[in-house]
Amino acid sequence: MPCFGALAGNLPLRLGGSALSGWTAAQHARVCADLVAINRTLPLATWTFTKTGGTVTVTDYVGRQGSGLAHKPTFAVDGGTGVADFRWEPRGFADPYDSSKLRPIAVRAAQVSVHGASAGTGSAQFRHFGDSGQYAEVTARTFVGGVAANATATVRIWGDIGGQHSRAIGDYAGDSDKHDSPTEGHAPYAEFILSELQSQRGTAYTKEQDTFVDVENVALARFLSATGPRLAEKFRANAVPGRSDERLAYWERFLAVPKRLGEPKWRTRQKLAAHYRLTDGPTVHSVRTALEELLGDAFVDLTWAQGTDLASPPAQTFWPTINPGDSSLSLGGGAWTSERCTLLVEVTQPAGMSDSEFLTLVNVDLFLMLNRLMPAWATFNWYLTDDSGGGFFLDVSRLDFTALT
Amino acid sequence: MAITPTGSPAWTRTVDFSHYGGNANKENYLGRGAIDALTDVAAEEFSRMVADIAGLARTAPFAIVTYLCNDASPDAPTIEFCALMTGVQTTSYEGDAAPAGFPSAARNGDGDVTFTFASSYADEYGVAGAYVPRDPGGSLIGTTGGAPTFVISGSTLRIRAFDSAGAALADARVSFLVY
Repeated sequence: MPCFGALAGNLPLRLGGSALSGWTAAQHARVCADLVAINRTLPLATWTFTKTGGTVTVTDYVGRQGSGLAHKPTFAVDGGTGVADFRWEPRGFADPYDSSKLRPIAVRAAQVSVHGASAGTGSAQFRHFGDSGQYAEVTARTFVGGVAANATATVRIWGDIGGQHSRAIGDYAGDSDKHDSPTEGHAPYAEFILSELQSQRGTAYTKEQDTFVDVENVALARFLSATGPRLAEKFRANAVPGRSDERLAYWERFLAVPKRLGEPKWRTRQKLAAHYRLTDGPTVHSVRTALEELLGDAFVDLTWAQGTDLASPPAQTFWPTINPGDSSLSLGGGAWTSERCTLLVEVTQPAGMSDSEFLTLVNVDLFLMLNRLMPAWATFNWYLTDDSGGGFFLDVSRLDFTALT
Repeated sequence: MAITPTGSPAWTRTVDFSHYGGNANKENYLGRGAIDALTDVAAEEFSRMVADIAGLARTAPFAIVTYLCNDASPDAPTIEFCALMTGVQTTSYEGDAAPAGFPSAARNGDGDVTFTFASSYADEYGVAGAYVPRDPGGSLIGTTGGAPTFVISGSTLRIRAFDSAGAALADARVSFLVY
């Protein structure tokens, strides 16, 4: 769409348009995917220091939170010959939008490169300490000719800032179903209204840009487009949770889907859209579609032991007298057991998803949805797929994650 | 209908600003500039943003890894931290039991391990991009002076850790990056 400029250039941007004046959904998707990717592997910071005697001097610093010596580690102190300690105390980088807030850092990898004309090597250590891990410290060691020696060196560190490793495309408004705007994808509402205004004013009024008449026309066109067709479109979009924005809170209440503290808006929208689909009832298609929407990349497959032939029950059935089956399946006391009406959801933990996020997804979000969707006589659970294609359904220790080797 | 992003994932190093929506002749629609700097994003700022993202994507490493050699009781190395462009593993894993999507690692000798990467990885939208490790670099982690050296062969990266005297360093802990 023509995203940029007076006729369409107010946020939120609308996707679509030409290469010259638009931003298509496919281009936006590439931005989202690559931002997530590079965010994971770019350094937290890199700096150069010189150690002379017992003095450590940081001469250059570039970090995610800022560039220049004003942002260097809080302390840079002597740790002995060839040893320099750098500490962030408190342990965090300033938030770019609110410098009074700190985003905690976690150093996970480091590299030291020695400057100079002699054979030099470096090594690093990193740790987080203090009563509750409130300090982050990096120790850089320099060696020249194989012997610990003071030197000039560059240090680079990698790790996490305030959970940024868990960034997802949704944080940048990415979504696999994103598409160009069908309404303003080619021309904004304001363009049509402006054209109409100019036409109605007649030849007595100029159509030239940068004139008072034009400014008034453009302002009026934008106002009318925002309060007219855009408002109607917004109303229509908010009528379903999958496209909703301002009305998400309403859909949370209406569908009674709890929202976790700090849950991003895109995740809430994803959950609500999946729950909204439940109104179709527990058909195989609707269950599968709802699971795909809820679990996203974590969803692999669905296994549903069903069948209408009671005389030929599924393999894991023990029904005393009627269909005894394998005696090892007996629970005793005349109880019967069957895998019939058991819904098994095969899932995988996407590479970028932490254990806590994944367990919340399958043990909370998945359970909540299937508990509502499935009839009382059906049971359900999830199991993790594995590369060998087996996977199994068990809840002992971390067997769910690692299988047996 | 699922969206297919333009271009290829970042690690193919083939993207430029046009894949992100940039264009050398980008302009505000019908030539009308932004009205309010606090609500509008003009073509000029957008062009700067996408060009900078392209620069970041070209120079960001594909993988950052910290691992520990297990030489005293010879075994596959322990990968303590592994951040790939495709995902981050913050809990450690053994090199011979790599989680799906992360590189495996085998022990060759004291301080000597080989990492094996997949020949292709997929981005968040499922778009696959070929991957071959290149331009590695690293450092020892610990109090011992020395350095790791690197040998790339196809999709494998062999890393040997040496101390300052040039001897293989057993039970070395190493951080490395690879593009």
